Amino acid sequence: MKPITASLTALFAFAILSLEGSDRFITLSNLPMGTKEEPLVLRTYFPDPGLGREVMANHDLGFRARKYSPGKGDVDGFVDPIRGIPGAIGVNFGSELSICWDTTECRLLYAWQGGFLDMTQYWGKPESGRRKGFDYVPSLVGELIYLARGSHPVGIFDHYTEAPKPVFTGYRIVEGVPEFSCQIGKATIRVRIEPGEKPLEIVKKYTIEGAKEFGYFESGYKFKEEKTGPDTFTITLQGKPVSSEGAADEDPDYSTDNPNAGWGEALYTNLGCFACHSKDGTRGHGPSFAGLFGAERTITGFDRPVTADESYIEESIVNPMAKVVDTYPAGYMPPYPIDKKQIKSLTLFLKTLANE
Amino acid sequence: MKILPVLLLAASTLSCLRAHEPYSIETIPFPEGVPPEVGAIGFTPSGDLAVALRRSDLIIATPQKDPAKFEWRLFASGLHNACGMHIVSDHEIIVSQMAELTRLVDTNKDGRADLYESLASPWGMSGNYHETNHLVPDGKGGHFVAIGTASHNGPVFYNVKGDYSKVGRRGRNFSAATWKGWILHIDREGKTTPWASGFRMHNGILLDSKNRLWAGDNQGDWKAATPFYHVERGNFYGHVSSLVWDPEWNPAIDPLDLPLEEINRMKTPAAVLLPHAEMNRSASEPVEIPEGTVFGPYGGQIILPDNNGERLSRLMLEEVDGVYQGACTHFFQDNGLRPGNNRAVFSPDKTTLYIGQTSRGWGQIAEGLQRIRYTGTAPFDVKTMTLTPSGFRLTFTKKAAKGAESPENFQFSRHRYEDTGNYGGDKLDESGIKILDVRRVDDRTIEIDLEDLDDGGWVYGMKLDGFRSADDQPLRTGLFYYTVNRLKK
Repeated sequence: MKPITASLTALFAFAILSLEGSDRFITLSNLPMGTKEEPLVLRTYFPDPGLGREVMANHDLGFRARKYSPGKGDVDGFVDPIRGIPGAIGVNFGSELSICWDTTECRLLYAWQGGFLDMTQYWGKPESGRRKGFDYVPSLVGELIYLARGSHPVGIFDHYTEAPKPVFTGYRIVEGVPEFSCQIGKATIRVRIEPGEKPLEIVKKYTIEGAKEFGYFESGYKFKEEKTGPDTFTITLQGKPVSSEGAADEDPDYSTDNPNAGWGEALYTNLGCFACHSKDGTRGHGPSFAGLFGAERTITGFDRPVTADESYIEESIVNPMAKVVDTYPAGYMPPYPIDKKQIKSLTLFLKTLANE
Repeated sequence: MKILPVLLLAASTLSCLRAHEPYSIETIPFPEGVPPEVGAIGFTPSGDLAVALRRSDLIIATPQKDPAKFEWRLFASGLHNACGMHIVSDHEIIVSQMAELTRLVDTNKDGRADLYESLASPWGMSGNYHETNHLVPDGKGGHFVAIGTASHNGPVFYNVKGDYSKVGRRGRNFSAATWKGWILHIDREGKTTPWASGFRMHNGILLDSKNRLWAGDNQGDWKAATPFYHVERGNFYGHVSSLVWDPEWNPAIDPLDLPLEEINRMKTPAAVLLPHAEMNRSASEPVEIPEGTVFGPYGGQIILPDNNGERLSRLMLEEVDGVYQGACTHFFQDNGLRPGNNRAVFSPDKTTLYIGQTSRGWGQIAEGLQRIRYTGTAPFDVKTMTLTPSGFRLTFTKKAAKGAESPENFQFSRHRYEDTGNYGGDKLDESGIKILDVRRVDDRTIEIDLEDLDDGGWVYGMKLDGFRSADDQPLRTGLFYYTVNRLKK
């Protein structure tokens, strides 16, 4: 993970200021902070520290767009999307815990310790107030201790088909802490997230109504589950310093428009390929990318094997149903209508994973 | 409440009372260190002023005679750039923030909202900073919400809230995410109906006392000048990118590739076109002047603030042949007013106009809160400019001096605009118009006949100079533009 730093002096100075008065206004300080007693809630654009596509499943995907000149129309060059989360809510409990909870996925996306956000990029310097540059997403202050993986941790098992999309219905401030509320089908899920008693602990207090059967599963993190009532339970999640595994921590290099393996690797993360296709040979929902390029593939319904060459890769991206590898389910992967340069970049990335 | 408002003496006591000045202006400070970036303003039923700020907070104060003595308290916080506000009661405020329509309720009546209920979130968010919105209540528990487009000066995110359109992403200002460039109607149950399209940055909509819906827009691509529209359901108002979200739109067609004639055929013209250099660059929240004379002689007309200039425009509208059109002029220009004029609201007693200012994230620093009061000194001004079959009729606020009807006091010209994908537009085919006759109808009314009068969106410019009122007051303003959509028979 990239180290996230900020001036501790500035942080300290603001912490003192923010304790004055019962009405704590947001000021010109670009390092707003709450306390454990009086957490600070802030909706803004949030940084995306490398969330996978399977976590952001209910978001649509922004794409690279051709540069546009109002006088000439399309011109040479591209404008790439940037990493960011549009509709999340942040809560800061002082240096102990900050969380980013999303209103589209209706779940905790990540948590960190040490500080909250540096808003300079978005709010601008105090003297001008102008957002900075083209990429104005605020930056995290502190160290990540939790990064969501996999599908929603709360499973509602009343649905025999795919669960309906969650719908955010708001939050209520309970003893200073927001209790987020969302609807999944007929079930209402409410959750309060607070710092735990031990270091790196995150406590999630759930109330679930209108569901017959539900369960909680958190992939990649240890947690304790405690039933506190007929509709309520508490999860104590053990956070840990987040490594870069499964998440791209460096911004992809888009300095060139030419297809390249680095761009392909970034797409592998950003498009969520990694959710199904491993890099190390592990079997997932789809075939691993390790040793894939140039190998012979056994295709369901085909008499003889097919070589995984450039055209095979392209076809498998834009029309995944055309050739389904034996023993894998058909129709699992949606078509990805990405452009030629992106396809080429992904192919170059796959070549780096090919067997010698 | 321990943080006291700072006495910004120089600023707060600024009032520009010249001889005959019909309006006074004062600056109202915010608590120290609070960035006064005003996204929305409104009054509670008990007469308190509520202000939503760009970064997070919604603050409230009881208006004071001394502008430095407002004591601000926090009603809600954590809002993402709330730019629309509907105050339901002393304990309930509905705001449109970047992601959603949110109902803020102070359920335990301790002065601070504790319930933040998401009422509806039908529009998307591409991640672009420019996609701000505005709302007006529909009077039936629902709202009209104006959803601004994104700017090419900012990016989109990989993760987009709502749906993403590759075609909508093209262009200078663009509609990459759901419903950008539209006005939506969201009823009290949260059901959304797309109402009208073709907007660029309609940073201000108004449902007037006669239940007519109006929207300004910001000059730019597809908006050669600053337009003011009468908004009706199903209409398209010219900014093409929004069309990609029309359920009837053929997705194979990129609206930017449509021929200009086709776009012009599809679009509903503006009721008033305000030349951007002379009048108004960036229309923001329109507000209806109270009937009667409590705020001067312009009761029933509309004030349209300029987010870019140190000015407010005044609109004189009329319905001709079933179509709205009319004139614009300066209502306030300089006179101590700051730039960044973003939101406007009248005090409950209708005597005072509060103006909230911001430009943060857009342009140069220009922010704060000011209020304008009528001093009771009636200005000498053109109260209404209306079309006649042969020219224009001017009705003055008071008796004009003898000789006012002398033709050399009047100058007329006309020009037109062409909306294109380019930013803004020049005055086209500009020419002087010959005056055939000027006659005084009565003490306060003068009619002018022109040689050439044409419809179809010609903008007629009028300059007045060289005469005073019968009681020797100078004219308050001398520059007017009338947009002729239809001729009078």
